[in-house]
Amino acid sequence: MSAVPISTVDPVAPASFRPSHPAAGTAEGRPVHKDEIDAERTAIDASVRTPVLLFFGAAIHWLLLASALAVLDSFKLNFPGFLNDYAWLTIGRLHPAAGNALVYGWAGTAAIGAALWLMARLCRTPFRHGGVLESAWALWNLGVTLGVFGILYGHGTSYLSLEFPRYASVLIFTAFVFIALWVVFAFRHRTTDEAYISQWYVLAAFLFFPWAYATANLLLFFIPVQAPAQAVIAAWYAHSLVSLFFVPLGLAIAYYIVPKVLGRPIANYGMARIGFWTWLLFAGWAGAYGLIGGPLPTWLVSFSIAASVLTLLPLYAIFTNFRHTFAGRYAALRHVPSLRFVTVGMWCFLAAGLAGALTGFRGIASVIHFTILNDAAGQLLMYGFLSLTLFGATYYIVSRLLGLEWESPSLIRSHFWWCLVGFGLATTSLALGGIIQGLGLDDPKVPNLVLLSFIKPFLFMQLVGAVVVTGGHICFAASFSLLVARIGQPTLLVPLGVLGEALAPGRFAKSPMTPNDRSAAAEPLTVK
Amino acid sequence: MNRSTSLFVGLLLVFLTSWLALVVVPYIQMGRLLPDVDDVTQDQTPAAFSGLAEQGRQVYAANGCVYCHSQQVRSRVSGADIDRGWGERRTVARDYLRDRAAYLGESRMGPDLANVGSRRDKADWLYTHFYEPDAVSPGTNCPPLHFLFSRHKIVGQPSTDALQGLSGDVPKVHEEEVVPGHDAKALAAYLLSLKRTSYKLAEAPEEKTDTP
Repeated sequence: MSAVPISTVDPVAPASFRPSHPAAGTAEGRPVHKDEIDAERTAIDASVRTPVLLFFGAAIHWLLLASALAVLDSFKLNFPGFLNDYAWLTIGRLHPAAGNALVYGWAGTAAIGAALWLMARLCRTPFRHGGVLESAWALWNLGVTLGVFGILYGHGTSYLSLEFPRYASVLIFTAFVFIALWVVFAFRHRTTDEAYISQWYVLAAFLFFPWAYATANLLLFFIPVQAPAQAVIAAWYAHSLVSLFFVPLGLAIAYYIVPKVLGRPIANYGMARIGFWTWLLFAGWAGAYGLIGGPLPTWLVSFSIAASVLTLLPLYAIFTNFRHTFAGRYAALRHVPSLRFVTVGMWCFLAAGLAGALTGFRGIASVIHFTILNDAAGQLLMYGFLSLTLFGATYYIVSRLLGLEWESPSLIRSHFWWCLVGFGLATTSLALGGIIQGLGLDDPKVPNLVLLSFIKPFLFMQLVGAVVVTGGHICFAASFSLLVARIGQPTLLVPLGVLGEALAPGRFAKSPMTPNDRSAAAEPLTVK
Repeated sequence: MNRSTSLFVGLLLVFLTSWLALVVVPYIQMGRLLPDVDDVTQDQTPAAFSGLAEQGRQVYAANGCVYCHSQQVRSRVSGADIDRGWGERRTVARDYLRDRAAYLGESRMGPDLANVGSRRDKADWLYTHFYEPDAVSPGTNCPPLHFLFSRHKIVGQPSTDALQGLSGDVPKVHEEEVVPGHDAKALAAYLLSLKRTSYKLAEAPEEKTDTP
């Protein structure tokens, strides 16, 4: 396994930002020529450019649709009389349509795009049979489209994250199997001896999803088991979809982008491996966590709560590692958008993980269960962690694929701040409102409608947050469209490059179309 | 066996533990439950849903009631559900034996519905709530489900099942009436049949409400 020699690092970079890891050259000790790496990357990027761009492009469309549906959903929660003559616009359909458009349409599609590119780069081999991916892309998006509109039409199942009707889930499953097979074949044909931790996470996610999706859909809808067992299986799927599919993909991105941009290897590779296995094990057992107090055997919930406390161990391993990897280089957050998005995303993951482990205790859970605090916790993971990380990945990957720098730094800044402010506002409101709601629900003297009047202001703030976030998404989509349309000249993101993507490829290359990565810092190291 | 094979095997084993613990074991434990059968009358508890109620369950699912309403009563140790009057006892797995799908719910923006058929035993009240929730629950943000009803000019005699007591201008000014459609009737039948804590099951003794 080789890494880019230090000499390819931006000559303008301040000395303190230069990568200091020792692993220049190949494992055999032969120094790698810069042009050789460029040629390799050019070939790899060219082999996945079309499918990866298709996935990102579709994801951004879904993000916009999901944002619009979410704003309407939130608006109708505050003003229930609005547009209520249309069945397909009733809030009970808008809500799952918005949720699934976000989860499968945006996060799923973008995460697949990012994972494909990471796999191609890290396996260091151009991918063959990209046409398979393009067909799978079409099938996947057809499935999500039928699913979202099926829910609006009235075919939703009302099982969280499994609302898509059967005709949509079949397409989604089929598409994903092709993608997963393709990823596994790519992994088997890699030209490196070892696998980097991001590849492990991608493989874990891509093996788990078909298994879990098939299990849940078969046992709930195709050959339905008795309803009490359905409840557990549905809860297991909804929890595992996030913790064993999306979280691993988010971590795969973070483990790639953070070391790349900082120009140093991750601090402790052994710890990364411990974090990997313990997370998958404990988070996988925590699936019945949301059923606390429910009409099910007590051992189930106790088992899951114990497991969710155990996830503190991988959280500690993962975050200590990232902290040591950063070690003083936080200034890069100011200059490098992808790093900034990913890092804030990781902080959200930490917050969500700590909250998840601590709120499992029965005393706390009996109060906050069934409140809008659940929505806050969900947003912290699916939006705070995942969406921000995927934004970071988009900024990192798409400019490299196109060999173009992002057009407007101010659009990126707006995107970041609008999303952060809107998301912060919505999540804080839901969390505070949820605590009040929980205390009220626990006091039988407070009637439901009185309690509702207490939390209405928080629901309104959540609507404001949703609108602000949508503004951020429009900036993001505008950035992407400008880049894809290649309108205008390539511009610099920051006046003085620091490292990584801040070093605009166009700045150093004669032609803006020169495939880049050439000025980026080292590839993440693989440590045996 | 090379390193990537051991990675695959490791992943499969890890996922298998989660799958066994949270899918297979719960299926063995709860996938083949049987109702109580009365020795004398041969009545089964819990009772099966009617065909109309089953159609109502589909209306319930299609229109996302579950996003604001749970269907489970927790024991007094876990919450104030019983003190709120949502049921006489906690619900247990067998209470859902007859359901085609279990909508346990994760949010209580609205009240729990596990036993709603015992509390709200009038279809008319439910119809008014579906059409104009604010008329019977002032300040609620439950959505008006106008699309479950037919609103039309009164021709000849007014319909016998037209909604009464709507607060808006519907009934008089335009000489119109609002009549529940098939889906509204099915949904009401479903809700009226949700009486999960009104019968006894051995594993769920009634809990006294006056002692903590």
